[in-house]
Amino acid sequence: MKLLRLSLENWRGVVVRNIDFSDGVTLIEGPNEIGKSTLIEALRTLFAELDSSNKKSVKAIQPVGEDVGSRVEAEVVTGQYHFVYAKTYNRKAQTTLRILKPEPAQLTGREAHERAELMLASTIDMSLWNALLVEQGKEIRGAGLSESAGLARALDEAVGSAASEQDDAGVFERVQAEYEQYFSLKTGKPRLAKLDNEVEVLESAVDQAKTALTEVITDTADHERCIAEIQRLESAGPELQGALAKRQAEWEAVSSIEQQGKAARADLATAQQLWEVVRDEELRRMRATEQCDQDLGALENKRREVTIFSSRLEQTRARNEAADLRLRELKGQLKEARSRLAIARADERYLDQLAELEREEQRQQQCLALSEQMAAERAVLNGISVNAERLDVLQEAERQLQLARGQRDLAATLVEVSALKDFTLEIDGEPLDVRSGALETRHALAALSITIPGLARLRIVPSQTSAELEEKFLEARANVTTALKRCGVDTLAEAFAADARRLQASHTLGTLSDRRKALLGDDDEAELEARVAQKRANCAQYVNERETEEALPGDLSQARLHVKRHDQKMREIEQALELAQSDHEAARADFEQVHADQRVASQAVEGLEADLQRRRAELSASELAESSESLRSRLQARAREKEAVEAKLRSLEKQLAECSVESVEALLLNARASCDRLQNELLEQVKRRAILDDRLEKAQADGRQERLDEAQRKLIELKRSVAAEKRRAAAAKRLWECINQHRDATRKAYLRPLKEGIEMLGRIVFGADFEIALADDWSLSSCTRNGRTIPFEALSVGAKEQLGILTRLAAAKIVSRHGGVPVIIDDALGFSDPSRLETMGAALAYCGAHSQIILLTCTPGRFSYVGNAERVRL
Amino acid sequence: MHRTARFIHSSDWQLGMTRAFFTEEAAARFSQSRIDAIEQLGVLATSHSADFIVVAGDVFESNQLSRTTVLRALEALKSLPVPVFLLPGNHDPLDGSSIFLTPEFLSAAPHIVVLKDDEPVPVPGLSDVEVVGAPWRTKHPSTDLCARLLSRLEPSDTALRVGVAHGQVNTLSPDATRPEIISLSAAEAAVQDGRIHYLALGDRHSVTSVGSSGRIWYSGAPVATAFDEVDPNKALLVDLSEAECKVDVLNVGDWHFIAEHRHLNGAEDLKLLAEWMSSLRAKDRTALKIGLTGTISLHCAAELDQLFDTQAELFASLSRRERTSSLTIVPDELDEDSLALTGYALEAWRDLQRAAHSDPVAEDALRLFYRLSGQQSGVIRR
Repeated sequence: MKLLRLSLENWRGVVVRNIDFSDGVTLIEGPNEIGKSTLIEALRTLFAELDSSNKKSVKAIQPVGEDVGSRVEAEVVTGQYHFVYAKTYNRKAQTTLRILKPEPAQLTGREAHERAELMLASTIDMSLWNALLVEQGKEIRGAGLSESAGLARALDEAVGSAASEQDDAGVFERVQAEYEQYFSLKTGKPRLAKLDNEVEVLESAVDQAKTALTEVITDTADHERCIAEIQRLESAGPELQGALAKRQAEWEAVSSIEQQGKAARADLATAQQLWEVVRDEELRRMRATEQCDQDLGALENKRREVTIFSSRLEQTRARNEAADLRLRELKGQLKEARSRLAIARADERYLDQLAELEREEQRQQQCLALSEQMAAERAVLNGISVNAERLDVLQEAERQLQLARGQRDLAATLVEVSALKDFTLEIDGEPLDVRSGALETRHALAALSITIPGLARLRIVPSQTSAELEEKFLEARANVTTALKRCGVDTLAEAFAADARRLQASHTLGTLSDRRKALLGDDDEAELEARVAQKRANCAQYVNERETEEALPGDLSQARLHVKRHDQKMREIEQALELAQSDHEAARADFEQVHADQRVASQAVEGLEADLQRRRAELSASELAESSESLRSRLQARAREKEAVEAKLRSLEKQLAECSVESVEALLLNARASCDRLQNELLEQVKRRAILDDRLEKAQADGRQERLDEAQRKLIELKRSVAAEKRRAAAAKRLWECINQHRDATRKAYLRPLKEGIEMLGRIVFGADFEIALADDWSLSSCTRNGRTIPFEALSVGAKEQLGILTRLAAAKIVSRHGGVPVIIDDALGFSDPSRLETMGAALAYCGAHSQIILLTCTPGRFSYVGNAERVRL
Repeated sequence: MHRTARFIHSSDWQLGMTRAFFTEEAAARFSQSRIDAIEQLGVLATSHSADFIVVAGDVFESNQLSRTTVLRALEALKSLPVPVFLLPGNHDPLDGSSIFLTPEFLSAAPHIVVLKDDEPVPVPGLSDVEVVGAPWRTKHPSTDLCARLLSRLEPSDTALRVGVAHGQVNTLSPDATRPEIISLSAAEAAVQDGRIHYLALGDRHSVTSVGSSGRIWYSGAPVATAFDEVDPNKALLVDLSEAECKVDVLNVGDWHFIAEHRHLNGAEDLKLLAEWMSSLRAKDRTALKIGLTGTISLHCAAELDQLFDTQAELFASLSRRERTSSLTIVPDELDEDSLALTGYALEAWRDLQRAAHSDPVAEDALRLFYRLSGQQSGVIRR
């Protein structure tokens, strides 16, 4: 749809306004308050409201204080239609529609309105268009942040429900509200549990009332039966009483015979008792005689036993003594063997010590020899004064001497005298014969006086230096002399020889000392000597004190052999002793056992003898009181008495058997029991009737039937309302589910084109890889740029606004598939930077190529980049 | 001797009865109306100069009634201006729990006479009229009590005799398995040979004359109690002599139990139904149940619901007879237009509409949808 022109007259503050719109983008400049809302309002009102409308919103259009009609006229192209549509509201209301295409026509009034609606509805999605217009009426700048949510609301209203008045909740909300009356929206749980509970309570009340009523009914029936039973029992009484009297008489006759029988039976018991007394007496006597005989036999047996024990006692005693003897013998042997072993061991120790003594003595002698040698060497050493230190001093003095000589000789004045003929001369007073041609040389170390006798005297005085050197030489020579003296030698060579001797002697002494030390070990000589002396004394003492005539063993090995032999022997004796000991103990135990047995048997014999004596005394005492013959005849007399009573009893019993006591008694008892039972039953029924009377009386004013009726009535009432409630709930649930299902499906149908539209425009603004995600409720949840996904909420204010505008442009295309619908954007892009203004401009221009865009602004600079915009100044 | 008597014959008061389909408030009114009927009978006795009243059984709905109910009944009985003869019936037999045997009743007033046995009782103040009854002693008697009573009576030379019995007569309810059924022929024979001169029957809640003597009658209940009663709310005024018996029907109660069935196929039928309902008088003492068959639009259904909602407030009980109702609701084009639904809501509507033919829940959902959308567009104002 495209809006070519919009004219307003007397519309709120606007007196006259006529705007021609571009096919594409129209940029309307003007101050902020001048009226984008008026434009939108006029357009909405024209399309939606009849000219006769009395709505408040329509009334409000009229300019304040003026009595004129408000007119709006729009020239519109939509689909194949092109028409001019005008309405005047409030005063001189009228509607005109001039159709230019496809078939020219002129309509007025209601007809015009309906026709315009038809044309619009067949070319655009009117509900979404209306919703978008409403949305556009809101403050875009402020709404910018929640733009996508706002649009979502618009779309939501567009896809669904009844044409709604602005303030009313939509059908969906009402359906949901109805559903929520019966179910929890979150969990879907029904809210009717309380009613079910009440039903249960009432049901149990009904049950209780029923039970209570049943009780009374049962009681009433019981009462009836009870009364009938009492009547029956009362009438049965006399007959039973008569029967009882007859049976009683019969019974009395029989019971007289029975009485006699009972007396005879008592007599019989007495006779029996008397007979038994005598019989017992006789029995006792017989048993006593038997007992005496038995006791005698037992006594004999016991006595034999004692004899046997006595002989066994002798046997065991002999055995015991033999064992004792053997034991003592072995003990003697053991003592002997032990002393022999001790001597052998002492001998062994002695011989061992003797050998040790010999070894020690030998060592002592060796030590002595070494000590003598060492004394000789020490004497040599004492004769030598040279030692290493002195030798060093001597060597050094010698070296200094050589040095001093050299120096002196080098500095000395050489005096050479050559003889021309033989002559004598004196040098320092010493004559010297010199032969012709000889050359005499002298170093003038000190002033030299040479006299050629008779001829001349020469005095040669050396230089100062020479004199000093000479002095040094002399000093050195004196040193050498001192050193030699200290070394006790005359020459250096001797000194060396003496030192060599000293070293030799010293070495020999060391070797000897080592050998002696080795020989002595840890001992020193004195200890060794003391020990030897001690041992020697010990050995001598042992030989003196040894207490046996036997010769000492020849040597240590023989001694050891002796020890071994004696040890062996002793051990053998010990073993034999052990055996003998256990033999001895066994024999003794045997003896003691037999001894004890014998004692017990002897005591038994004594006891038996006493018993027998006592019994014999008793027996003879009773014989004395009554003889056995007398006793026997008394027993016979008692037996005869008893038989007489028995015969009498038998005759009575025969009589009783003939008159059948049992049946007489049975009949009597039964007659009596029947009467008793009747009485009891009657009593019971009377009691029962009293109880029932009482119960019924108590239940009487209870109104149990009424209570049950009332409870049932209430239950039915409640059940009816519960059923109605459930039915309503089921309907609400079904409706809610159904409408939800369709709502979801429809939403999804809008989702894809909207997403594609936004992304297409977004690529112009944000770059080629721009993508967005739309939530199920159509809100923009995130967008992706340069591979980064950012939640919508995290976007900058500018980006949100830009996306809001793009979303709206995309939505406009959905409204009408052919060229969209006009989109009105008020003073947007305040938050966009210049580069973004450029791309947004391009996007707007791009949309402008196929749908109409109306931009309202007070700062036209923002839209410089919308290339194809046509400008309108208000 | 020319003996005459004029008395009122009533029965089946069923005091203490309630009806499950009543609301609490209606139930209270129903109870009160039956107490009021006793006083009404007293007024009628006075205005028609009746000598006494006989009640042929079922004075009480049950023996298990509350003290309140019994005392209020006694109070009403005490206020009667003439002697009243009460016969225990199958609902209130003279058994161990009988109300008639309670001390309150035994000592109530001399003019309240309970017919406890077969002995004829003279009417106080009248020397030549006596009443003889066949009281029920148990809910399940093993014999025809009336026949037994009559067989023991001899024709009376001195008094007009009014027999009182309770139960169905074998000509109206032939049922061989029930031993207590009253033999009409035995009764007619007794009337014929003058053992009794009138037999007052109870148990049947509709006024009925039985047999050919004109002296054997069911009086019907003085206040209606059920939907299946014919001509209830009545009592009988009997003018009796040996030669003649004249019976007049008196109006007593004003309760109505109406079971109605209607065809409903459109707005016209609905209008007729609404008019009929509003024309009914004494709605607060009327229990109405209506069965509906037919096919109606949603709009019509909504109006029907509205009609029932409104009328339910007026009647003592108003219910739809589910068993006999088969009302199909078919949304028509008009319904849809008046809603102006679009988009998914319209699709949901059509979906439910398709399902509604076979699914009652969908039908309910559709009605709800209609109401929720209509609320807003102003089609239906509630």
